[in-house]
Amino acid sequence: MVVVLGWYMASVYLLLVGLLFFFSELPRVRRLLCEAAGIFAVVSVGALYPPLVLVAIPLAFYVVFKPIALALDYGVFKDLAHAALWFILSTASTTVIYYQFALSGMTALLVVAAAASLLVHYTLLRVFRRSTQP
Amino acid sequence: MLTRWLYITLLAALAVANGHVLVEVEGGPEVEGRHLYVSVGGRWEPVHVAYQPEFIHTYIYATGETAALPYYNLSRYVLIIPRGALAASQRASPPQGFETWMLEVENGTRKVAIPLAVGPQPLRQDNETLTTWTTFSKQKIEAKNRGRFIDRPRDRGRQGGDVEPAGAAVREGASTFAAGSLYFKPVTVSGWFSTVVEVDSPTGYTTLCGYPQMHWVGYELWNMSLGVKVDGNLLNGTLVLELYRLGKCFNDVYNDVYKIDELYLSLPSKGSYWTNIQFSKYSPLDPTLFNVPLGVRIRVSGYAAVQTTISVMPVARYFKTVNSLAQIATSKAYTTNEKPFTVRLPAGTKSAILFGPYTAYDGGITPTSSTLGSIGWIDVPAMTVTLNKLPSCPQLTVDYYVNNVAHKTLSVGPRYSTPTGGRCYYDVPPQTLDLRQREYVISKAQSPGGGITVAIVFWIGGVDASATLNSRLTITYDRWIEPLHSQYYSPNNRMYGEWREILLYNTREFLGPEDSKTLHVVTEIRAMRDWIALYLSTNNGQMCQAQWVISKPVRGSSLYYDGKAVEETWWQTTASIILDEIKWIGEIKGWLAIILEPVRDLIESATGSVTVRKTSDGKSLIIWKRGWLVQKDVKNVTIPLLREASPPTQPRHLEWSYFAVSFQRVITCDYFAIFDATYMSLPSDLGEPSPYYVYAKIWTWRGQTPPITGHTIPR
Repeated sequence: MVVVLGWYMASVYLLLVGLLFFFSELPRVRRLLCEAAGIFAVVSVGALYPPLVLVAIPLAFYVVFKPIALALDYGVFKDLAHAALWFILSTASTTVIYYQFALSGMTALLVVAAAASLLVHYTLLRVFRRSTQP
Repeated sequence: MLTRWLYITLLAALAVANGHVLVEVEGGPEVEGRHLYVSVGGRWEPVHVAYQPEFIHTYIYATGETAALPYYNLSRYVLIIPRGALAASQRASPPQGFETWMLEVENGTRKVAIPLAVGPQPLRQDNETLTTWTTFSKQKIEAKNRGRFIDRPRDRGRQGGDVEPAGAAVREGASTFAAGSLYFKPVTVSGWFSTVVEVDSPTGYTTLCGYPQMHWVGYELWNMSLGVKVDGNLLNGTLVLELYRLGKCFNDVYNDVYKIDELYLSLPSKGSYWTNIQFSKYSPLDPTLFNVPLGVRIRVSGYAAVQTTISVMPVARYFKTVNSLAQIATSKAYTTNEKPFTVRLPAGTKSAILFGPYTAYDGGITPTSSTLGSIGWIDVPAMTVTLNKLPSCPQLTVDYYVNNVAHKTLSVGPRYSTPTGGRCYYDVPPQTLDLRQREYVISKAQSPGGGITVAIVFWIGGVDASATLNSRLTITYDRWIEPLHSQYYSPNNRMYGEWREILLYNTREFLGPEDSKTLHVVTEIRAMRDWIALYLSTNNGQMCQAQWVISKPVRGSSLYYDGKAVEETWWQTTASIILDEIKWIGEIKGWLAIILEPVRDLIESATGSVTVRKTSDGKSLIIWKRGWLVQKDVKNVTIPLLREASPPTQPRHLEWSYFAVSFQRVITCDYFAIFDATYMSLPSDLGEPSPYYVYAKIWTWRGQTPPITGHTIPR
């Protein structure tokens, strides 16, 4: 169970990075893979000593916000407002779709979140590119 | 064939040796529930009854096999009468409470009229009960004498009145009569013997109030029936049934334990018989004895020339008052066909399809003191019958049997008067049959726990025939699930702790021993006004997850494994403090929820978890997960849940509409059994079992057991 969670968190980490760099080139691929392996390893230690599963709580925030920070560093997001807007809009649209269609289960949530986030990302990239053009 | 003739010869020889004559009655009045006696030299002697079988080739739905099975009509029987009664010429006056029926016996050359004393209760003479035994004969008895009743009061003094309508509404405050088995182990004897019959208790508790081999009977006993099966041969067999008041050891603080009554019954030499019992010193109408806890001990004695096994199967009937609908559950069993299915009927003049046997759960209730009252009903679906190669299409006769006893006959006209393509078609309409307490009690007196079967017999006249059942056959009946005193459900306290003890005890009793091939699962819901409790138990395997759907809103997360509360670890508590602070993240379905929800689930489910969700149709889905930290097998799970207010438009009763249980395979947690369309309790059949657990069964409550147990009880 704990190992499955480690695998899940590492996968979501890579999925988020891939999603944010979907319209540009993915940097430092080897390092990203190492980080994913690290997430998997840290969570999986909980299988040997269960109290260490607590680490998964701060790690959850790392898995969500590290890709956003990376996207800011590499200029995918033009500024902090762009990043914040993407996070808020993708979360809001996912929530609306999820409840509107009375979905249930993590798989449905993942599919909706990925699709909605990608659409919001594409739209915001176009809007911000236009607004920053001379 | 040899066995058959041997049996008949033996029966006839025994009858002659014992000085009896066999008198066959066809189309006679029903004598079931009555006791018949004849006067021989001024003394009353019992007349025993053997029902004549009719063997019909039968397709057995449960196994797909065909066999010739016996069917009985309660108006066709053989009376086993002491020979001396034929010589008596004067008419003796019947004992008090009995009436006289005149039986005309014809042996081919002469006719004799014998007066029979007939009454609803057995006669006692000196210290002995004159037992009148009844049996379903396993072979057709060739009786030389023919008998017919020529003078009897028309149904006057019938036992308890008319048949009650099926499914009479159970309501709070109603009086009801519940029947259930008492369980004793078979005893094997040889030579001269005198022994106590052991209580069948898998937990090993067979001593009550210091008395070994005392079976708990409980409160509010109304009357009893007793089944006896003798495999072997007995001479001068006697059964002694002792009825005890349990007194001080069961809340009856003012009275010591003492023997209320002792019945002496003479045992049949061999075969399977039943009779009704009457105590002379115990009456349910005696206000000093009605609400007292009772126990029963049984002794047998006699001589067995060969090794002989005696099985004693008492059935207790209780008079109960419904204080809460929680005391009543509805049991349902049904055939597993989702779609119409066709059976090629076995060849013969008559041909049958048999459904069952289904478990006859204890506690079947009827609103009348008569066993002819209905405890439920059987819905037989519409059928299409096809007869081949007939020159014309005659009427088709269809007989319905419940527990192999004739119940109803129907005559059905053909769809077309002339054959179509060489075939005659008959559309047999759906039927609702009463499930009477009489057949239910007889089955319990014939085998431990009893069973319920339904058979449909078609008069096909030897032609090639088939029958198609268009939907499921369903058996539904109400039963008393609270096995003790009505007052155990207190309007003030809502319930006493004993309920929980009883449930755990019962659960272990019928789960049986652990072994590698048989898997039994029990789940039960106990509903109170303010809370409900879910119970789940198994004798084998690693349960890892289960789900229930009930119609009422509930909340709760506490959990008991094998009677002990499941407690959080320190790091789960720490995680809860943190995660509760950011609980709102889970409501907003973004990336944080996608990550944090599985983290929360994993931490919460470490030592086992209960989750309650509202379904889209307003019901509650309760999910139990064993917990990934729990390494050992969990045998008993208890989940107490608090009730929440439900809309006044909803029905007051709680409906249980779904149950599923999963078992741990190597890694995965696989569903083993899923039941939908249940109502309060589970059907007795499995649907289509997973091949992994071929021998699995689902059970619910069974047995009357005392409220003592050595197990740890959740408090």
